Amino acid sequence: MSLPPDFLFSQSNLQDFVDCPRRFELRYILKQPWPALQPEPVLEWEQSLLQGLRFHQLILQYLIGMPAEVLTQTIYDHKLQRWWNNFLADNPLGELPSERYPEFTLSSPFAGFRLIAKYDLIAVAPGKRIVIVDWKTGSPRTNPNSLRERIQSRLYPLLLVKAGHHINHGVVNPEQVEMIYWFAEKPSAPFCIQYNQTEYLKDREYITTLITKIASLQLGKFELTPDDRHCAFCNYQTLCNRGKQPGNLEDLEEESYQELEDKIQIDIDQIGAIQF
Amino acid sequence: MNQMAHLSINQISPTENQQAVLESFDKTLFLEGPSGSGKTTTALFYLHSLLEQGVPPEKILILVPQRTLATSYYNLLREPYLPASVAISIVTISGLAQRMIDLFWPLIAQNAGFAHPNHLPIFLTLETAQYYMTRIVDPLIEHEGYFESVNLDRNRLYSQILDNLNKSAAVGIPLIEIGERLKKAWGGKPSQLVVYDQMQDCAIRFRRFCLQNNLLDFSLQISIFCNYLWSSFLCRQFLLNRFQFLIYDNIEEDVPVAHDLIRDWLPHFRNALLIYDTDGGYRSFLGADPEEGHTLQSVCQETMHLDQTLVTSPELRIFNEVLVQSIQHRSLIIHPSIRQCLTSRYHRYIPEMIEDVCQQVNRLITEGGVSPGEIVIVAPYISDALRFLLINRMEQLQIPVRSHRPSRNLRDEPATQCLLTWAKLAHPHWNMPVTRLDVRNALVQSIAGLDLTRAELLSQIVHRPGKQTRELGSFDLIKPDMQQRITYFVGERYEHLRRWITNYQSNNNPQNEDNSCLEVFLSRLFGEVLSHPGFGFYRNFDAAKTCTELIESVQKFRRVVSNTHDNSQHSIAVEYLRMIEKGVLAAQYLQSWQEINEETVLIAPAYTYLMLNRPVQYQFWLDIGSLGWWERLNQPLTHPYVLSRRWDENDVWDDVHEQQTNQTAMIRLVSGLIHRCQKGIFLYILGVNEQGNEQRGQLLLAIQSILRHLPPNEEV
Repeated sequence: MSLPPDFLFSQSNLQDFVDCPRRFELRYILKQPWPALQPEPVLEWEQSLLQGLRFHQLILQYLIGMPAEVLTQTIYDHKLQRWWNNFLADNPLGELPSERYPEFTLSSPFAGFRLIAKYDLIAVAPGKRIVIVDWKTGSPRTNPNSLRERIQSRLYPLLLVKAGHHINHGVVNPEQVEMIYWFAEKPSAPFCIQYNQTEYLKDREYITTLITKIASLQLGKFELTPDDRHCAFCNYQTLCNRGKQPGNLEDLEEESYQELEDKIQIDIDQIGAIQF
Repeated sequence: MNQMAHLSINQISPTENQQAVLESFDKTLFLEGPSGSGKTTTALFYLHSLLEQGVPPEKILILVPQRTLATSYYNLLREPYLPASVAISIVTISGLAQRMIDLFWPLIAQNAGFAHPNHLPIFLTLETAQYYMTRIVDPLIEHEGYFESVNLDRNRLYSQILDNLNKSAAVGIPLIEIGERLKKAWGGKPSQLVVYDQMQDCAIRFRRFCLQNNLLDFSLQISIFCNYLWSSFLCRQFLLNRFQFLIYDNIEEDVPVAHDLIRDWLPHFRNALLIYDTDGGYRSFLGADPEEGHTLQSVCQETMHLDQTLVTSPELRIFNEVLVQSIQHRSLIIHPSIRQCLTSRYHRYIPEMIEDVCQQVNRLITEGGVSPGEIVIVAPYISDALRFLLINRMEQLQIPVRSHRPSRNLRDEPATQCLLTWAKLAHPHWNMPVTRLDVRNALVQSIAGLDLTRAELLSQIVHRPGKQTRELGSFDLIKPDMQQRITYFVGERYEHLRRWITNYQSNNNPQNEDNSCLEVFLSRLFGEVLSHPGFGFYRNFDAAKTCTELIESVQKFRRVVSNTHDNSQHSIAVEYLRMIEKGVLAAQYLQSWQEINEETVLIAPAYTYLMLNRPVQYQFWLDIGSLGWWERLNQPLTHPYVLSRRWDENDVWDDVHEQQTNQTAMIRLVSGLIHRCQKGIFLYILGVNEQGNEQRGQLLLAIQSILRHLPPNEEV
């Protein structure tokens, strides 16, 4: 086994494995830094990611009690302003249970390792209903089925069932759980997943199989994906001889965008405080 | 100290004393003891016990003075056997401050004096804070004669002014009083007084600049958090509601304002465990205040002591006692058994010492079966040369080794210099000079198999710094006999690289900001040329790491500076390159503290090793005659003891103070090391040090007094 026993599985690293086992090996086991060719235009791309982060921050500030009008005054960017206006007008929080846990991280032992996930928002009516909300600022979805198939849509409800008993004041029944993807650009068309026992068992089986497979692989046995569409926005593109031109922002599919968005989110979180 | 560096919490049982702590629920408990007595392990049991009892994990706060001191907690929380839970917050005071400022900024920005309260805060790193300090200080040095009498590297000057700002915030001394306080304590030549005035002026100008531009360096983050956010109803309620259980470890290494915060906050916690290391205080030079930390005992409901070290052998414990007596010039009561844990070695020159150290390490590993991770090599300072020689020899002996420094000199890496040379040549309008030597070295790095001689020949022909055009010459135009000498293989690769740069320039549309963005150029050069077969970075993972870190450094700089600067990428890139050359940027690249392979021999400055809080079986103390074990750094613009709450403002710093503080600091240092050693210490005495001097510092004298009473060396 090439994984340390305290390895943490997240939607991001599991998705990487699904997309390309070699990427998983390079990124999480070998921890090999490799300069990425970023989607072009680079500065526009970066700006768009930073806007996404800022939007998440605005909602968090709003959820902890900062007045909307105070927050509105801090927005100087048209796109962000549009998203924020959409959020206020659509009021996606309105229908949600009243106990809210923004930016919440859950973890649980699973298949001999730990699973971990950071949720944008969990809204709970204890013992009755639990809603996972994920704010999406990428380009609007084109294919709901592909979103349903992503690891995030499987792992988040699964982990909530396994580790959410604290906030539910008791065992979480899969039927209680819903997951909503709310799109800042298309607030009227959220994508909702109603969870249930069957899906839970399927997801549990799927993630267990995935982790068992990863854990059984020896170093050097993580194969490069045969589907080179996954390479266009991968930072190891040049290391794996899968081309040497960065992908274009316009060609970026929503899933890839979300995946990269997750990555920069983690990177920015890791910008350390100044060591004093 | 963590007795379970290699064990999981479910593999050991708590001792009787530790069990007593676990039973102290619903109270605030002050736990103290020497290093190695199992305090952090007790805290891990305590945390485990909280989780097992169903305490909501999101209600638990773990506070540490420095992130490396949280390693044991992170490790525990990754254990697969822990129950399902919510993530626990593990923070430092600065991490907490930054997070709260980020969240509650709109509520406090105006009152705190920021000029643009509706714009976002910009958090400065060490690098970017230094950068802005150069913009404040350099014109004053160049046009107004500031710091004329100070003989100090310019970058150390900037960092000492920043250090004063930080101490002002961390200790709670008003910023405008720093200079006056230093002046009042000064007993030397009056010419120094003006230096303190100039330092004060620079610090105030820097603070004003930050307020004008929404910039928050460490000092401003701490000040804003303590003075505005903690007293803001919304923020305070947020924190009070959020956390009900506290573990505050290594309080002796934290700064006084952190102690103030916890003193105020403590009554609101349901449970709290405060942990104090009676030997600690290693971060005093950074503002840590162990005495102030100890006053938290009086606000805790109960105090418990763990007196017995669980790490150090009896012989080493005796050695510690005797060494302290010897440093304090007290009469020595020496037990010959301490010879069992000591090996002393004398070498006249450094290469001999290094050879012996490496051979001893090798012997411990190969003959003694000691794991490399159980060996540490320490010295007061580890110079680049010493580090290089040690690592080089260890690698020859196939000993896994790592050097732990809080920062690395990214700008001096050959890969960095290579990449920046091509960046300057590809952007002639930046007008950044490139020497022939730069080009030669860049060629050596860039083209696989190119030796220095051929690179010299090639650079002489293709790069003519005096010429008006800065284009690189073509290999095809070189005379055939010279082409042959350089080889066609090299020529082909050079041409590929040259053409890539030419294409890059011809496609360089000035309207497209990406084209002047330095990191875009660097990642493209790496990805499209240098990382491919035939080029120097092909499968060169170290170069890839350097390139990644350089790109990150450029990005962080750009994101901050674009807020206060002429926004063009061109000018930001030029500014970055200028700052690299001045040594302001990329000189202190903070490495990830988490990604460390612990199964390697560690080479580290002594204080850095102590802050890893990780005991080992064997320690090697290099050059014990060095004055570095005794003296503090020369800091003409600041003073760690005067800028502390311990200092009496009416006192004047003199030789007696210096002697006393040096003695206390050295006792703390050597005791800290011994308490983190399980089996044996190798003491190295050097005849002539790196500077060619023969030094006989206080540590050497103290140890010689002991060795005189001992039988001759026996191998450990």
